[in-house]
Amino acid sequence: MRRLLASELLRFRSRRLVVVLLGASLGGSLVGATIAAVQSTRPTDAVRAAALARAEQGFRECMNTDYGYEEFDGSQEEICRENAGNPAFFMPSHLALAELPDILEGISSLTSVLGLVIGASVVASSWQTGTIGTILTWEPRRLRWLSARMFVVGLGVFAITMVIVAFLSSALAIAAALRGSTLLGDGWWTDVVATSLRVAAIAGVAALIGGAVAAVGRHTAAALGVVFVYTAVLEGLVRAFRPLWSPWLLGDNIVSFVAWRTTEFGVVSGSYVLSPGRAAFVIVGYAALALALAFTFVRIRDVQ
Amino acid sequence: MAAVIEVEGLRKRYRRFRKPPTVALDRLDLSVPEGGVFGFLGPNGAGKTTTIRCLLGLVSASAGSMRLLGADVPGGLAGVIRGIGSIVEAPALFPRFSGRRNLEILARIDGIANGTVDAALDRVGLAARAGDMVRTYSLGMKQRLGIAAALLKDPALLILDEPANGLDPAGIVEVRGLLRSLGAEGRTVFVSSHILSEVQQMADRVAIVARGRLVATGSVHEVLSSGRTAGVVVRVADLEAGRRALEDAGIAARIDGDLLRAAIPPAEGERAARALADRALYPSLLQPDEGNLEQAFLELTGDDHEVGA
Repeated sequence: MRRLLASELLRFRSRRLVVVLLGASLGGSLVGATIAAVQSTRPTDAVRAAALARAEQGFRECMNTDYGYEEFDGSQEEICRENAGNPAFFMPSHLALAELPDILEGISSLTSVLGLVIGASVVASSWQTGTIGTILTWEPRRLRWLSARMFVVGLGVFAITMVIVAFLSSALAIAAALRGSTLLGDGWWTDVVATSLRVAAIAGVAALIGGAVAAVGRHTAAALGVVFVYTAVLEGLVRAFRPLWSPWLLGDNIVSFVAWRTTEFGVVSGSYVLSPGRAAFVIVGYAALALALAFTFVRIRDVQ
Repeated sequence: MAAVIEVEGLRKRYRRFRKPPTVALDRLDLSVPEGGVFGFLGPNGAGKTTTIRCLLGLVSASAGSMRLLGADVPGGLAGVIRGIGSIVEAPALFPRFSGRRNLEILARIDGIANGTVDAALDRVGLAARAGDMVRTYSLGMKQRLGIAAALLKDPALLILDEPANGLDPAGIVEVRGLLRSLGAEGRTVFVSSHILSEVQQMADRVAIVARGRLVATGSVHEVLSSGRTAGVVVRVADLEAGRRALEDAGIAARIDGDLLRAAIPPAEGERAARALADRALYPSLLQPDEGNLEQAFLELTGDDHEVGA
């Protein structure tokens, strides 16, 4: 298995698409950080002091007003500190490194698409070029071969995403140091690392799902089309007409997992809760189902 | 002599959407002995490539049994695949990778050193272009790269589907020599080809299939003589006069191009010579009619005479 993995890894990193997408992502990160730096104005001490004063005033007003806090989670002080007494609300728009976890959450959709494209392309290319026949005359155990490929695809996309996240974080940190704010709260590092890992994990899962669908359809475009139709059209219809089924939808669970927040949603017909732990199980379930289909199809279908 | 390929009652039926199924292989029996070059011939759609795909586990057989190097296929294939090099139809390689990178990826599956990759490239004459993308290769170069890939494992059995496809005459001669030398080294080279004259020149034994069934197998000599009347070929200046002279002497003869084919045993060729000389027709050629594989092939495959893969 080790040799098979080495072969698949060599093939993965030799793929031009992988190199091009990685290069484009790093280039895009650099451009994004540059734009953020150009548009940001470093807050002066006077601006900070004014924002702090306004936040304190907002906090005091909030504490003296009854908004019916018993209906919310948390104490009145916590709610007021978060919603009315946050100095960031009163600062002029600028690049704040403290918001990096939110930025990383924001790029998750892009890295997931990147993973999906790489996964679908790397797996389907063997059928599109006909090399599947050549590979199977070297390793006829199809499930073993597909396991190796899926492992390399999933892990490869996870690693690529971590590189992109690390590069983007570094670029934004430099931009924030030069033209923004580097004031960090408690637990920032933990938050950044955990968010990065979740973003990379979702990209890896997207690659596995893309690869699995490609193994069934044997074509990159077909695989991407199927995933797009499912996530954008089918899940959209379910959300619109059967909102209470949303806790079982892939898209909603990915959002919940990446944000790592428990959220309760109220709809006309009732309410539902999305929690990150449950979301992880649902996402793994989707990936397992896709992989099971892929392994079944690859095992039984003839290779022409 | 032990058989390296054994096929018994192999049947492959393809189901088709809203159409009756097609039978690609219809209880095919085949036995390929160890060592030497074995030619596998048949017209288009005869089932040659399907047989090879079944043997390599790429398509599942509907019925029958197969053994490669003594192992059951497909169950035991993984145990013997290390000893089998193959090309199925056109060699399929990644067009945007270099020739060397394609071979390196395959070599890693078996832990084969990069030095072996270079040696294989050198053996097929691709060392100078090894770093170029495969999509820039000619068909013949791709074919040679496919052969290099098949040789990487230093296989005891080579299964090659149309290995001379796309090669220029010099390349064909080169591949013929290469396959002959591989066969002479004690390996078994199983070659499917539509270039019958090529197979005749390099194969020790042949099998001919038609409509998914075996119609003849044996040494080239045995297959050449199967189902054919022994005779002699004669060349004279006036073919029609020569034919009449032979028939008047009780020898059935027919004109075939610029030759006369006379239906008498070669040992009695003197009779034909005398009959012609009596009419002042002096043959410039008189020799046993050994025929060629192409004729035998056409006779054996009957209506399926479109020669192809």
